[in-house]
Amino acid sequence: MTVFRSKFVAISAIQLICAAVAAAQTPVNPEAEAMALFSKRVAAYVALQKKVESTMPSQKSTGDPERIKAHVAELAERMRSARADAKAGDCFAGASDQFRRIIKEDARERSVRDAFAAMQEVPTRTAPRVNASYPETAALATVPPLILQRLQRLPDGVEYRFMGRDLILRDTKANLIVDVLPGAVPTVSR
Amino acid sequence: MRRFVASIVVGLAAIALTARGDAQSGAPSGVPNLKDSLKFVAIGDNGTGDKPQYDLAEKMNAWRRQFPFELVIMLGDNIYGRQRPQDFIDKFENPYKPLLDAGVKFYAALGNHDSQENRFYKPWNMNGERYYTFSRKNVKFFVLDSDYMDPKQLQWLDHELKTSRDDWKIAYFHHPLYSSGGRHGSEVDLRVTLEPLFVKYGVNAVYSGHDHVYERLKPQKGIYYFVSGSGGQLRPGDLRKSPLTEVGYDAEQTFMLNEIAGDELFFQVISRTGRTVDAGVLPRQPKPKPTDAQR
Repeated sequence: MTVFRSKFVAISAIQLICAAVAAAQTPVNPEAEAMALFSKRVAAYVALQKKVESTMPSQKSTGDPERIKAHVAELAERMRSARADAKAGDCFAGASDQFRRIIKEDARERSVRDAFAAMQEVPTRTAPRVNASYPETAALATVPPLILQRLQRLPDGVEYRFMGRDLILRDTKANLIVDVLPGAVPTVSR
Repeated sequence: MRRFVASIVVGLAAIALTARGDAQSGAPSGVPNLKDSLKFVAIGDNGTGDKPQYDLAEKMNAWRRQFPFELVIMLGDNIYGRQRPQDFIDKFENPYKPLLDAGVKFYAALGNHDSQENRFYKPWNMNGERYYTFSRKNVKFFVLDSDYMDPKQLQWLDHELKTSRDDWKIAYFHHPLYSSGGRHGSEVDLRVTLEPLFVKYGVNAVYSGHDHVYERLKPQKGIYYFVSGSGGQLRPGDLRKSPLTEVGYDAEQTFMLNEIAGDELFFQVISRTGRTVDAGVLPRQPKPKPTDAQR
């Protein structure tokens, strides 16, 4: 019985060592790491958004659109100040190629007509700029749901949108452009 | 038998309207104006602030005197262009003032031309939410944000539909799953995403806008679909009648009168000049058998 127990302990120890060695040798998936970093940056943005918003009276339903707009404008101004040094790539950097690939793969699976339809109302007149407001009169063009299912999930407070061929991260509370991924949408010809 | 009779009524209405190649007055009357029924209006793509929107709003108000609807469902693009406070007055409050004064409640879905923060605008009863539900009598309305159908919203919808025990489930949102509009047409991505839930949980009717025409589609997988996107905007001649089309109209702006009484949904579509361009009655579909997950 003692012999059996000793053998069992020895085998378990070997198994543990092998598992530890295997874990140490498992290559880190650089793509997963890049996406995790993207999510971390977005989470940091949303944390800042919450912090800034907590210093203001909360947005509530009202019959006075002036108050609604004033809240958005005030929050935007405070977020701009808090991120005065923000630049394109602050969130997307490192994961840019993956985002482009996901969108390219999606486009490849669509018919040309469908691909055009998906981009039909995407605003093209204004080039997106970090910390600028999303243009008031531009349509908030639909992001196709099947693309949304493939892209990294976002927390409340930010969303993906397309502007021209660029993918942007948009602050849904302050109507601000948080980050820009240029040329995310592949060109499609008829 | 009841369903058979109802189908004949709808069929005759469709024949009467399409046989002339255009909608005509004198079509079968749609809304019976029954006591204790739920009466509501559907408008989409209305917020232009232009004369046709005002004309149509006047017609809505005139109809309310004989058909006292209590709510208006807005199918998105509630305000076009600039969204300044004055635009809310010019493009919403003024045209619908008589209705608002009479206590009619508006429940809005967001369209691609609406600013998202407009969900905080109290007269639209969105309570700050992009998507929400509300109930009246035996009807539950599921109001969706089709501009951004992310996994979170889908999860929410799945839960809301699964737990609804209402007789009627009506979904409305801006982008149509089925449409013969030439400008946009069917939103296939959205259909792939939403239709399985609608079928699984027995959604009865779906209202959308986006294409600036009126279209009643042939039932798809047993669900009734309407496109009512000419509540202010209009694309004359844009309707490409297709095998999907039951009845369509694109010569004038329109709004829809709806009435749910027991197991029947009555509808009547009124044009800017007051013509009835479609009308009929649709029976409530049998509820789908609950799956294990729903029990």
